[in-house]
Amino acid sequence: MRYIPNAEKDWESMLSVIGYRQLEDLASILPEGLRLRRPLDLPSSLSEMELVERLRQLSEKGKEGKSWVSFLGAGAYNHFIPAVVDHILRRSEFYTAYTPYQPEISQGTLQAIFEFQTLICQLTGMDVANASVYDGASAVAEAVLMAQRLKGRKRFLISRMVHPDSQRVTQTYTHPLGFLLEPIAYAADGATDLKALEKSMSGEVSAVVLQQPNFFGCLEDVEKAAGIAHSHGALLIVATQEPLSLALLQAPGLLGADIAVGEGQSFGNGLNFGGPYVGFFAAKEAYLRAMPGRLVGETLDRDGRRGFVLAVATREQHIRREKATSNICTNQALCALASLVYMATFGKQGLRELAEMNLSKAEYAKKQLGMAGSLRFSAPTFNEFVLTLKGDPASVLSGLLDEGLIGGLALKKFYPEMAHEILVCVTERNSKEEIDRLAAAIGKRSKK
Amino acid sequence: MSEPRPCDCVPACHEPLLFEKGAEGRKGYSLPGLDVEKVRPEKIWPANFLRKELDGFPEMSEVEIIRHFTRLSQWNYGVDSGFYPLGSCTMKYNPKVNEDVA
Repeated sequence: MRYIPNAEKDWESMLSVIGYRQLEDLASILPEGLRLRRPLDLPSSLSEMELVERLRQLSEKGKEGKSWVSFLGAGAYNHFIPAVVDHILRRSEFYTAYTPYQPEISQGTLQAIFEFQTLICQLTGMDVANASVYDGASAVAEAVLMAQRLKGRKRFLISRMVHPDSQRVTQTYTHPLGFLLEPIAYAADGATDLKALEKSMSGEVSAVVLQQPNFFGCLEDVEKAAGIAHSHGALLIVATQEPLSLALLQAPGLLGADIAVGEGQSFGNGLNFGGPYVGFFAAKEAYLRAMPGRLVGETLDRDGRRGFVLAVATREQHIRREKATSNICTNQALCALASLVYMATFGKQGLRELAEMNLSKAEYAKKQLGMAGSLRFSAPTFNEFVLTLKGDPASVLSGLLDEGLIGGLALKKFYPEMAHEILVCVTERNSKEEIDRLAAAIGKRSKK
Repeated sequence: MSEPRPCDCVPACHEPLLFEKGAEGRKGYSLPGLDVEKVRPEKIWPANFLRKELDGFPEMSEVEIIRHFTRLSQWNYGVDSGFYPLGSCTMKYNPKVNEDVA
């Protein structure tokens, strides 16, 4: 009954207003043969105390627990989240608010989104950012659709090291529209093969899509890729799955990228079994009108005071369907708020310090694990890298699980040629001792 | 008797932007010491990959952050504030235990 606040007396008084005596009378218009004359076959409801106990028992069946040490990244990153983030998210004026269509009662959400957009612009080196989209994968797909709106061409060159899930989602979005997504392979060092990119370019290409750092953790030469794309009249889309890297990496917008998108989970959102996450989306000002989603803008009220409103929302609900730049019904306001509070908490110095911590630990892990297996690529990396194992990754990884270690991701699933490779991620949450444990455990299993 | 006047207790809607708050050197975080050798990106990354600073990012203490966002939350109206006859798919009350066990 806790979902329904009224007492029986309240029902009676409401029913009497509309001329009914009991609740069942409301169903009297239904044909007799269709009416269910018995209660639904459901177990009786649990009290709050019983519910909490039942869920506690269920949660013990999961493998979550302090004893697990994870080196899994591959698009979802295990970062420490300061307590501030959750305390702000738990302000119920934020989490029980509706989408901010009425600015008079939504200034909190609107100002927070405006601040989020501003920090995303600073992070990516872009002029405009939207209020957010579903996740990193849909952000990439939306960027491809946007490039087609701007260039009118349906051929795209997409690096094989854009997150495989983002590639699949982009396929799903664009296949019915007849888009051609051509993969660009990796060079010997693990970065996208820019010579192959150059050879594949033509005046038919709308955009080139890269991920920075790429799915192998390798850093891409964004500036060079931008030059290649632009010399053929194409746009450069740069996706970032680990935005913490941008605390140390030059902003893609300052290196020539036209659209910068990515996944914001890394900033203040827990791993949460894979979602909800939050996609960010930014572009150069010239492309504002082609952007999907919604943008919050600053304005003045009748008395000349600053306020915030939904300024651009070219969604099919608001304008003619064929003119819409987006069919997505919402942004991820609460997840974007988590990212905003996280970015503000670490701030200008803290994000760089944290990113350097990730880099230093990953470099240490490369040294240690490079002796247990061997590093597959030579391109510089941030907090993730590919390791070649001597044995079969599936059996090595499952052996590691017995020691409480989640060792990384076997890459064969996404890259069939990588039968012996795993992707390893190291964040601030991994101690030197844990890295040493992983190296020893892999070393032990790699001996022939 | 005259109509009761609405109270003036709703906070006025003025809260500076994040970027207008804080001051150089303020911190809202704490990180553990580094337990491995420090590696600076400029040692291992090409020069044109490097960013000098996070231009435009705030520098705030924890209490400033909490007050800023608490203030913003006070300008929002949600189901917990009152009846909201919009958005039938989302705007229903959920018992608080759901938030705790989620």
